[in-house]
Parts: sequence; C-alpha cells; structure tokens
Amino acid sequence: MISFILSILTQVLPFMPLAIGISTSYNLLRATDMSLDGSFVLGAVVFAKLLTLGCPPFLSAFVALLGGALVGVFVSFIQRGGHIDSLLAGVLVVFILTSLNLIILGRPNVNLSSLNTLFSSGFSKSQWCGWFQVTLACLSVCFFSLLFMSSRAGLLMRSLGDNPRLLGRLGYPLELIRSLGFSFTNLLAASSGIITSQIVGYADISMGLGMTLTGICAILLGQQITRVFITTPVVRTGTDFLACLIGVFVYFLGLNFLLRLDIDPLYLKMSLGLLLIFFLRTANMSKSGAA
Amino acid sequence: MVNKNIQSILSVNNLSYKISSSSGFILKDVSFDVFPRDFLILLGSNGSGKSSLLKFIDKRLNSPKNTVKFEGVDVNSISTKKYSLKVKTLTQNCDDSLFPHLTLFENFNLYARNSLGSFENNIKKRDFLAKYLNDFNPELSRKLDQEVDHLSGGEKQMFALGMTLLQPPDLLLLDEHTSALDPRTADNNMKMTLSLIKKHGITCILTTHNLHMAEEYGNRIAVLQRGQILQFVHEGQKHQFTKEQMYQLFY
Ligand SMILES: Nc1ncnc2c1ncn2[C@@H]1O[C@H](COP(=O)(O)OP(=O)(O)OP(=O)(O)O)[C@@H](O)[C@H]1O
Ligand SMILES: [Mg+2]
Repeated sequence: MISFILSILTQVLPFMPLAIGISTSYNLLRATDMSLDGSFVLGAVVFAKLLTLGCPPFLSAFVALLGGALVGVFVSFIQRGGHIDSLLAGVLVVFILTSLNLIILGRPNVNLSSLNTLFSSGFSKSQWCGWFQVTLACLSVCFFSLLFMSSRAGLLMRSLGDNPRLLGRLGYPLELIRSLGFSFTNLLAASSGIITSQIVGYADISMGLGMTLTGICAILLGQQITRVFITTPVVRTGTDFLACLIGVFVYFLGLNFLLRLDIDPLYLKMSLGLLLIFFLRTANMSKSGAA
Repeated sequence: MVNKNIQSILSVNNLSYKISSSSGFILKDVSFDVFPRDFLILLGSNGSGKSSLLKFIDKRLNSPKNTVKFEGVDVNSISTKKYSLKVKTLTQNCDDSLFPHLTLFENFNLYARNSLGSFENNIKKRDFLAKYLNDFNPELSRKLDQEVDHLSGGEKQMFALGMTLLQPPDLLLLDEHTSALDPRTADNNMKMTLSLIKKHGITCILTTHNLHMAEEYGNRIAVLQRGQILQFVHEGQKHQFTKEQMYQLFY
C-alpha cells in the first residue's frame, strides 16, 4: 500500500508545476492555454539537448526555462489585439513547437540515464536521496509560484482575467501583463518537462501530448472536491493551489487504480476525455447555478 | 443664458452616427457644449441615443475627427490613459467599472495605483479604505475581503461610485447608473453622487428618461429624440415644459 502511494507521489510531484501553470491560465487568466503541452516538451528537449552537448545541468535547466518563458511571450503576442483567441493561439503554438522540438533534438528521443543531470548526484547515493532532491525541486517551484501569485504581479494577472477592458481603461499595460502571465505559466510547464525527463530518464518529442487536457481534468476534479469543504475561500491563491494538489493526486490515484485493474491503455484516453466532458459540464453548471 | 466667454470643457459638433448606410441615424447632427460645473441632463425615451452619445464622449466609440472635443482638443488625439483619468463613466451595469471576482480591497489596490506611494503599509491602506467606504455604505467597510460579486446590487453600485470617484475626474458621465436599484437605494446613491459632485466640483452629464429626475438635478436639460436634440432647456426655463410636450415625447 505504502509503495503504491509512493509511486503515485512520484507521478504527482513532477506534474505539480505544470498543474499550477494550467490552473493559473485556466482560472486566473481565463484562457485555455494549450501551448503548455508544447512548452512541457520544449523544456525537456532543450534541457536534454544541452546536456548531450556537455552543458552543466543548472545552466541547461535555466536555458530550458527561458525557452518556456519565450513561448509564453509568443503565445501572448499572437493574441495581441484579440484577432486570434487564446485557445487557437495555443493550438497553433503547439503545432509549431512539434516541429521545432524535433529540430532542436535532432531525433525523436534522447536517453538521459547515462548523463549527469540535476538529480544524478542524489540518485547515485541512494534512491531516497534522489527523490529527496526531486521533491525539493518541485516544492521550491511550487513555493515560488505561490509567492509570485500573491504578489502585485499576481493581482494584475487575476485582474486581467477578470475585466481586461477596465484594466486597460485604468491605464495598465495590458499586453505586458498578458505576456507576463503566459510566460509564467509556460515556464512552469517547461520546469515540469525538465524534471519529468530526468525522472523517466529520457526526453521524447511526444511526451507532452494531452498533458494540458489531463491537467484541466485533474484541476476541475480538485475544485469540485475542495468546494465541498471550503465554501468561502479566504486566500484565493492558496485555495487554487490546494485544489491543484488534491486534483492531481486523486487523478493519479484513479489512473493507477485503473491500470492495476488491467484496463487496456487503449481505452484510457477515451475514458479520460469522456470524464473531462463530464467535469466541465458539472463545473459550468454549478457556476451558473450559483449566479 | 450661457456665458460664451467661459471655455467649454466638452463640445460636440455635428456628431452623426449610423451603423450602416441603409439604416437610420442613431445620432443625427448632435451639437452642444458643456461648461465647467454644468450638470447637463440628457432626457429621452428608450432608444433615443443617450447611451450612444455618452460612448462617443468617453471614447468607447471612435468619433469622427473634431466632432468631440475635450477642453478644446479633439478626443482622438488624447491618449486613452490620460483621458480615462479626466472622464469617467458609471453605467447601469456596474460590473463595467469593477473587477467582479476580486475582493473589494484588491479592487481598491488596482484603482489606487497613483496614490499607492502615500501608504506606509497594507494596514494603513486597509484603514483608509474602510474609512473611505464607511461614508458610502457602512456595510461595505466590513466586507473588504469579500468578492465584489458577492455584494448586493445596491452595494455594488455604491462601491463602483466610490472607486470611480477615488480620483475625481473632471467630467463624470452617469448613464442611468441607479436605474436598476430600488427607489430608496437609488435615492441614497443619487444623494451620495450629488454630494461628491458638489464637493469636488465635477462637471456632470446624466442620462434619464425620468422628467422629475431631470428637473430636480440638472441645470440644463437636452431633450433627445430619435438621435436628435429636440430642444435645450436652460435653468429657469423649466416650467415651459408642459405636460403635453412631455406626453408627445414619450407616448
Ligand atoms: N452597435 C449597435 N448596433 C445596432 N444598433 C445600435 C447599436 N448601438 C445602438 N444601437 C441602436 O441605437 C439606438 C439608440 O441606442 P442607445 O443605447 O443609445 O439608446 P438609449 O437612449 O441609451 O436607450 P435606453 O434608455 O434604453 O438606454 C437604439 O435603437 C439601438 O438599437
Ligand atoms: Mg442607455
């Protein structure tokens, strides 16, 4: 049982930064940013490529994060002036990134297990030590994003999602704030990609497929659960974070449970999609019901 | 009579507006001046073009060159940022001027950007806001950490008024901002609005289809019908408005 929970935790941890990114764009910026799929892979790919070129792990990670942030700036730029809506902009960027990622990596996947990564010093000592490093990395990303979201920059991002017209009329630089928001979420996605590639031991250009949808599914699930015991959220960012954590955990719990039941993975995506439709419907219904 | 020597704060010259060439005019050859400290009422029935006119004045709609001038300058050549500090609008839909899913305190934080430096810390800021809102509605000062969306309609509109006048504009446009409220709440809001207008010496344009309101508040009334200004009623001339004339206008 404990090993079952632990194995779930090892899946939850690297997913958390991405989940926070998705939650931020979905709940706060009010945009379904599909480009996170692409940034996730971009993070992994850039990181892996630089490692194979002999770059030190920290520098590689830094450049990969920067790459994620740039994707955000690009997504935001496409939407400028409202000529292309956020959903389409994201899909377009993923489309572009699928080929860009392949160009960067040079081949469909790269094995990292023989290379010196951020966590290889830990894992070379013991399994526990390695996982400790992974946990530390994930938690610090989460911590810094929480800090960022509760700062004034976070407030501006939330206000952008809430009433962009008014924000513009009050004289705030809309485009700058939008870029900031999308850079932040795409950077989080890239950091998830970086961490994941080191845990699974390879970077693969198709590893991000459907991640954003999965994330939204998990987050909506988490929100439904948190709504049961937090009726009047005091700290919005904190509640959103909690919903993220619970949702992702429950999602992976369910997933692993299904896999244990020997359900053919063939049916997995299909059932997941149907589940997502169900959650989206109930979430929107409870929203309009409350209004 | 209006003293022509005073420079007008706003002048509208031959403003016409139609959606397409085949449709009728929404506004037709509208011209008028507003002078400092004026309280101008736009009186007209539903669909007469009041809201459209205000949209041209606060730049929500783009006006043809030189048809709308603020302090003698074509509004198209004033930056939106600068203009939005000078001309502010309250509409019936107060969500236009608020962030509905942020708390009152967060709304205040976004509105109070320019005076942010004058607060030593968050506690002082909260104190200030609580005191400030207390004059508007004591309920509000107890709800600083509630989302705007959870306020009642009356509280929301009062809060919108408070935020809009946090940094008083030169020209305030009121587009039936109390019409969705019950009579007593509307009256409270109107009283507060008037006292602030007086206190800060704000010039004001108010739209209404209510003759009593027009007579009570305005020093000038412009009667709008099907996009045209039918007549101007200046202070002291109000009684020339007969019931028959009003009947013609509205029925
Ligand atoms: N964007 C638009 N497209 C088509 N018609 C419009 C548009 N904007 C305004 N109109 C029309 O212009 C006319 C005037 O509208 P407006 O909102 O200015 O009236 P109003 O005097 O404010 O009315 P009310 O008292 O109901 O608020 C209406 O007949 C309306 O249908
Ligand atoms: Mg109107």
